[in-house]
Amino acid sequence: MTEDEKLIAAEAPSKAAIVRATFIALAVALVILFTAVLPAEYGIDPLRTGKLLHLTGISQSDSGGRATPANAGIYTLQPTTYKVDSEEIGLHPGEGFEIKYHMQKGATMLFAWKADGLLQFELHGEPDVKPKPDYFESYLLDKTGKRESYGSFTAPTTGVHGWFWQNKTKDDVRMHLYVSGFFDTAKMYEAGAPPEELIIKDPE
Amino acid sequence: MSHRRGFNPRALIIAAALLLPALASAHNVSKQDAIFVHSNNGVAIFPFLYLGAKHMVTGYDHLAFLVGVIFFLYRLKDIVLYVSLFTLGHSVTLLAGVLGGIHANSYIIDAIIGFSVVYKAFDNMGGFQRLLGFQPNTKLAVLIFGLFHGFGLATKLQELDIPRDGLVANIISFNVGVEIGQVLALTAVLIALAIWRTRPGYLRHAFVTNTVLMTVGFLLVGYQLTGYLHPA
Repeated sequence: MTEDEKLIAAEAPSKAAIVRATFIALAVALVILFTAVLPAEYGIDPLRTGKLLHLTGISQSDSGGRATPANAGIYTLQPTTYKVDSEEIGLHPGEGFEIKYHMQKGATMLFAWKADGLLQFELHGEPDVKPKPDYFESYLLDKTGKRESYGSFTAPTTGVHGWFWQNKTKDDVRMHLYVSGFFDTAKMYEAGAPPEELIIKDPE
Repeated sequence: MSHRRGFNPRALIIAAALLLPALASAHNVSKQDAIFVHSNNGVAIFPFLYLGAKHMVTGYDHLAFLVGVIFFLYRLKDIVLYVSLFTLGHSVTLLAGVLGGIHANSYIIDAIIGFSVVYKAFDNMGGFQRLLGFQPNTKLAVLIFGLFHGFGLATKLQELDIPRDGLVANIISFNVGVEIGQVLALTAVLIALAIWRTRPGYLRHAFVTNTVLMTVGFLLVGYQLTGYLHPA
């Protein structure tokens, strides 16, 4: 034991003080856990404090939306007009590119893209209301590379949703993307530059 | 419409550095970081160095434990000894966890890390000596908890899903980055403690501070155990 430690031991708090402090620490932690952390992080709200303090929205913008993406049925009415977009992109070896569409929660789009070489990609999205500044959700990640991908996508949250592609081959790759559906706007992204709005007209 | 634009990974690293959030969550990997790691192939010393340092500086669970460990250490020799033991512990499990592909449950590991904060705060209060009448070896405790902190770091790195290509060099870079971040954080804590120790009533405030530290530890345990029992 060092001199300093002896000094501290001599002035150490009483047994009762230590027990009291430990129980206070546990009690305060439990109160914060149940009133704030559990509602905000997991949407568990036993005391209704999360609802009162509007904390439950934080977790619901994440997993809550994903659980019920759209109404099941023969038709689904959509909040915005039908739009069509077509983009042709050339990627040199090592280059990456991102295009995302702003969609309302539950809005659907159909997509098809086809390339003359392998492209790695990630289908992902960022809700408008994010629990953290750099929050995003990954829907589909392909690291082996594909030449084409077709399908439909229903937005789990209101926000921007789209693809990041990257050419990891040694040759140039050209890719053609077709998207149609109920998105509001389209943007493309490059690192170091502000997102650029793509001009999309409603079909005549 | 035709685009011919590219962005290279280096630009992404710079963007990630500029976007360094002041208080990132200890458990999330930012989008820029994740895209960088996904799209990275081969050795990338400095990016992983940076990510390691960033994880440590913004990881409040590791910091809370370190504050507890150095709280009553006055001599530089002691501080170096204890921090080295912690470093040894977490380096072993970080490297073994990622390279050996050991996948620990991150909730359980993070709950143990939370418990390590409770343990150290209780120790600092004199709980073991006064209340339980024995003092567990403090050096051994730091080493053992260091092992768990390393598993925590490993699970975070595994969430990034790093490619096998250049893995060893990248993990060692990440580990070195963790140590750099630790030195940065420790320096800040030591300066604050040094100033504080000159004030009267330090020991009384120290007791309250350790109670707060223990609260943080309990909170982390509850948060992580709930995550384990209630997967989102």
